[in-house]
Amino acid sequence: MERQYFAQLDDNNVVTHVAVVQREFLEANPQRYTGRWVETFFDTKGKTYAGIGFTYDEVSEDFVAPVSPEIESEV
Amino acid sequence: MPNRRELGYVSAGSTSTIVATTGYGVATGGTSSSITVGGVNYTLLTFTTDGTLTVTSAGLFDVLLVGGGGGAGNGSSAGVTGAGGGAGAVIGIAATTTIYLSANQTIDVGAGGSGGAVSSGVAGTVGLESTIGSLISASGGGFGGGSGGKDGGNGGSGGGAGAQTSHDSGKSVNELFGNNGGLSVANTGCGGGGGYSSAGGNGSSTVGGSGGNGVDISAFLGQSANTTLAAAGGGGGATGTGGAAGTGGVAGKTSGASNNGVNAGCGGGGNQGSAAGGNGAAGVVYVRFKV
Repeated sequence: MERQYFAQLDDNNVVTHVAVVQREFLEANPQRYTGRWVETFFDTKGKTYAGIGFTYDEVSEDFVAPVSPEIESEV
Repeated sequence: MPNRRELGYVSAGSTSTIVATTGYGVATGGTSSSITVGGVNYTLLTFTTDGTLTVTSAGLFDVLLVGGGGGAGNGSSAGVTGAGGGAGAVIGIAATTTIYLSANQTIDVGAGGSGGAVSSGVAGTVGLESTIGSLISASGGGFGGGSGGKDGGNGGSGGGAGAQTSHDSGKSVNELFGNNGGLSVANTGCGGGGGYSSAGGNGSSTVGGSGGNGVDISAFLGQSANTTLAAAGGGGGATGTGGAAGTGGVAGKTSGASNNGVNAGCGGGGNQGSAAGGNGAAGVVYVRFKV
């Protein structure tokens, strides 16, 4: 069975959790998977696999990684 | 029903020997198969995604859990590298771990962490834990450090240190279940992620640290040796030569498509800043009972 991955979003579209779960199981268990969930792809070209803290962009339908707030001086 | 502490078991923080006089139980869930281990027949339930363990007859169950692997870090630009992700913890391989169950259990399979994005300078994200209800859990692997101010993350095994000597490597939350990540000496060769069987290697000026070795879990599954490997750390990214792959793991890279973890609980491979760090692989949960 091929794995599917879903990311849980908060009100600001920021990822709070990532689950390894089949769509049918997720949809059949709303008490377990509360809130909003969007599928993310682990190994698909052109798609960013979601991590906690990433932001979901509804226009591109993809996840955007945070950028380091401070790039240290590099030797 | 006895609780987990009465059974002498707590999750990833301790060993897990349970002495009981009761026999094995019966359950369904996941993908079921029949296996033979040491001449004894078992039913093996494999959960590669979240599910429910339905206990149809109370009793003992042998379990093996692997947490999700950590994502690799990334550099802020070309020529700046990211560290390898740490492996998820493995519970139930050093010694058979047996738990008593009399009720259904939720099974959560830990997702792997995400690798740092191109030229972001950020660390990867931590792998997530695999759990059987609230009874037992295997921690996810620590993230690999990025160049922009991140040490490697702690986890089942620690992630490698991000670029520059000022960054520390991630540590294993419990050395029974994983090892530490490796260090970096410059921004051109990052540390490897820790694996179940060994620590991640240190990076050098142009070579990434090797990923820590994973573990052979085939015996639990009734397979020939080295059929199923898990929980290796990812190799560190570098400008010259990517860190070597640990047993069962993936190497670090110098450019191009990321090396994502391939076996359960393995950390992603680091990369140079012009390309993304590797994603950590998801974990797995096995439950078996004698038939």
